[in-house]
Amino acid sequence: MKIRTKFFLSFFLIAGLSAFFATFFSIYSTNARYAGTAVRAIETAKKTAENTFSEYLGELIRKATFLAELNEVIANIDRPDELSSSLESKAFFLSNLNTWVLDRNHRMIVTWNNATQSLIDQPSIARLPALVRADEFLRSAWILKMGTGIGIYAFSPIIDAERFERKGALLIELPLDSLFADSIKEKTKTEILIFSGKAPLASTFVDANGSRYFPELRRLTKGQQSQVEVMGATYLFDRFPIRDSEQREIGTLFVGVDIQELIVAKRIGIYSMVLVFLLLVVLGILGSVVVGNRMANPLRVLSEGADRVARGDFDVHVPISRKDEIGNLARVFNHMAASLKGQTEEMSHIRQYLQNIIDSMPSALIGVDAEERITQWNLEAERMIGVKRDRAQGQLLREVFPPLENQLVKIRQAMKERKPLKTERMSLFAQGSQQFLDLMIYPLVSNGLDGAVVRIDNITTRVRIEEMMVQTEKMMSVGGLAAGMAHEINNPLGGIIQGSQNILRRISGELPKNRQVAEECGTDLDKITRYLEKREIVDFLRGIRECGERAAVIVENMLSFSRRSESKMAPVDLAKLLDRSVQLAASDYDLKKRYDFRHIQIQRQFADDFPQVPCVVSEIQQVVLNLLKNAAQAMFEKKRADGDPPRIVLRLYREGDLARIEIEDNGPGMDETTRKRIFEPFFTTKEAGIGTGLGLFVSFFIITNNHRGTLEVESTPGQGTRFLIGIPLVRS
Amino acid sequence: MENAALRVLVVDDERTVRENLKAYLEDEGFLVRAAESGEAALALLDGEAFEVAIVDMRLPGIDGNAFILQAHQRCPALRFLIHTGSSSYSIPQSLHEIGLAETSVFRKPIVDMNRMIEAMLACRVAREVPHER
Repeated sequence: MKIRTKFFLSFFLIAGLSAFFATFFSIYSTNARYAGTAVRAIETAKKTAENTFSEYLGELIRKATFLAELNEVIANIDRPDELSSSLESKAFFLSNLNTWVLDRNHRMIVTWNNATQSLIDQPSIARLPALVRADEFLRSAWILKMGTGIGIYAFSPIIDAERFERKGALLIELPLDSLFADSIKEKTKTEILIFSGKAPLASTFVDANGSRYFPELRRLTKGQQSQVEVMGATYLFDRFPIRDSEQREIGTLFVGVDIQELIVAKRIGIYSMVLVFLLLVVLGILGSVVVGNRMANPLRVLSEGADRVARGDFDVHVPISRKDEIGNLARVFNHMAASLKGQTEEMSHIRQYLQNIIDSMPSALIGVDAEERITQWNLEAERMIGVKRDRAQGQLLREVFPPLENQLVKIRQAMKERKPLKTERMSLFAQGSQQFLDLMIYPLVSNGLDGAVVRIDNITTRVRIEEMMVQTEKMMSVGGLAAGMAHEINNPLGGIIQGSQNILRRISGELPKNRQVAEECGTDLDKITRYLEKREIVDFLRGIRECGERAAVIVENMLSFSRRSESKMAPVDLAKLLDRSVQLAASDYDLKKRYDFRHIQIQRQFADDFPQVPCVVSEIQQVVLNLLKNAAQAMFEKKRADGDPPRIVLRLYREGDLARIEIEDNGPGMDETTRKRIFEPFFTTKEAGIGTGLGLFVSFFIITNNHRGTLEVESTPGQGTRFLIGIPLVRS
Repeated sequence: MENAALRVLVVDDERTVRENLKAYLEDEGFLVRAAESGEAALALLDGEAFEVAIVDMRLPGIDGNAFILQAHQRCPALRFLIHTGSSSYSIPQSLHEIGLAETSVFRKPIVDMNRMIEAMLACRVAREVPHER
């Protein structure tokens, strides 16, 4: 349940309950008060009524006595008319009383009825207690049930004092009728009802027609005090029994207090209370809502702020500026959020910086935990291995990069011994070629975290360069060897060539000295010559000489690259050089006529305004010539399948700070194995005896060593070959 | 071609080279003497006058360079041709001053002797017209 609801409910409950109880008790006490008032009124009335009875009893006796002691009464006891007029003159005195004068024998002499129908008749006089008890000399009063009604009776003997003889008695009757009730009402200020048993005797209620009205006895006797509605008004009735002289209950007198006003007042009071209650409830609701909001709203704002912080959004400021505890809480919260934000940003910066460092590393960095699952996978690892970080994270290393499976032993060892380990030159076939990797495995040794990091460097390029350098070294040492060897060979070669040459000269008929010496020896030079020719000696000698010359050419080629050439570097117009080379190639005459350069289509793609390039003219020419010859020979040997005419394209252009020469043919091309070895010394694809396999070796040497340039070859079998020469434009 | 007794001195430590050169040059009509070392050659120079000396650079005692310098001192008129097996030979400054040029250098093995013959004859022409130099 939300706090607001809790607040609301609590306040509401408190206010409501308080109001309710307050109202309840108010109403209750009002009720009680009113009831009390009514009850007191009733009690008072009851008492008053009771007292009235007594008073009446006393009054009646007095009246009776008074009358009985009146001289005129005593004197006129035997004269009824006189008695009547005496009584008449006492009308006011005897209002609402029935009076009789009785003779000695208790016979009615005079009757004076001022009240309602008398209840007494002659026979019933005999039942007067005074007569029954023979107290006729005594004055007394009684309440008696007479017939259906009740009356108060006073009996006073008329006594002739002088003669001391009872002459008669005076009897007054006050019937308990409605007039009696009225008189009581005057005293008590309440309504009076008198019942004798079930019979209604007196009522102070008067209905619309003017006749006395009697409410139902049943209703009046519901409980000691009962609330009865009579003729539109509500009365509270209480009662007390009317007892006769023997204490027998002969009737009931009801006292009815008009509580209509009380009731109305009570009702108004209750309504007001209820109204107040409702008002209080409403106020309670409002108050609780307001207070609840005042409490709950900032809490809600705080709670929402905290939610956002929990979700990771630290850019939160709670706009509460009260001075109480909630305000303080808000202030502290804002401070905390700002601090968190700052720290998170800093942490994020640091993390980004670290990740930047790791990702910028040109080595692949792979982190694994103790279970050999990947924890770190940098950008270079993604590139090298081709697996994205998201996919690699958390996976087993050997599943993500299977080739490293055999390195897991080392990784475990490194972690166990807490020492780094290396694997150098691990070979791997990937991306279509042989790759070489250097691995450095080092365990994480600080912070108590377990795991290891594998750094992988792709050293393929370096390895290739090293191999190339080794190759170059080899070539150079071969060159050196060759140079040294060639040096030694030159002398014996000279001997062969010159010796055979001398022989040929001295057996020919051209030198006069030959003839001379032949004659001196007694023989004919011609005969000797003919013999030698017939026995093919001359041919053999020529053969020897040719071989010698060929050997010399080979040696010369071998040596040509090892000559010092720095001093001969000069700016050269490469376009002219290329054109001249083409001319030379066209006019070159191969002993065995293995190619005819003139039938080859030459395409010239030279850049305009090409700067002069520092190089050794003769050497570059030698290289270009060699390449052109190779192209021509290759194209001559294998006709193109689609009948395309043989073509060589020469290109000259600038690439960065290099001058580029391309010599491209559409010959048969060469396969990868051949292409890789093409610059090796003595490597040749030609038939034995054709070429020496040195041309490209020497060309390579000239370009790379003498000119610090590059010589590369590209080839597609069946399509052609392209040699690319790169010569620095500026000598360094 | 006027070959009349052009006197040539061949200095080389290899017998085959000496003999072949000598045979060839004699067939051409030159007068040829051969020495197997710089010292022997100098001794020969004391005794005879030569016009051209064909000198190998690699000699057992003093090398070809030293020989040429010494020989030039003794015989300033003597012309020199260098006949070397070294592929990387270039004329040092000292010999340049004497009058040797790249054209005076012949690398072994010599396939075409004609160039050497021409060079030797050119020495004679140069000698014969000294005032034109």
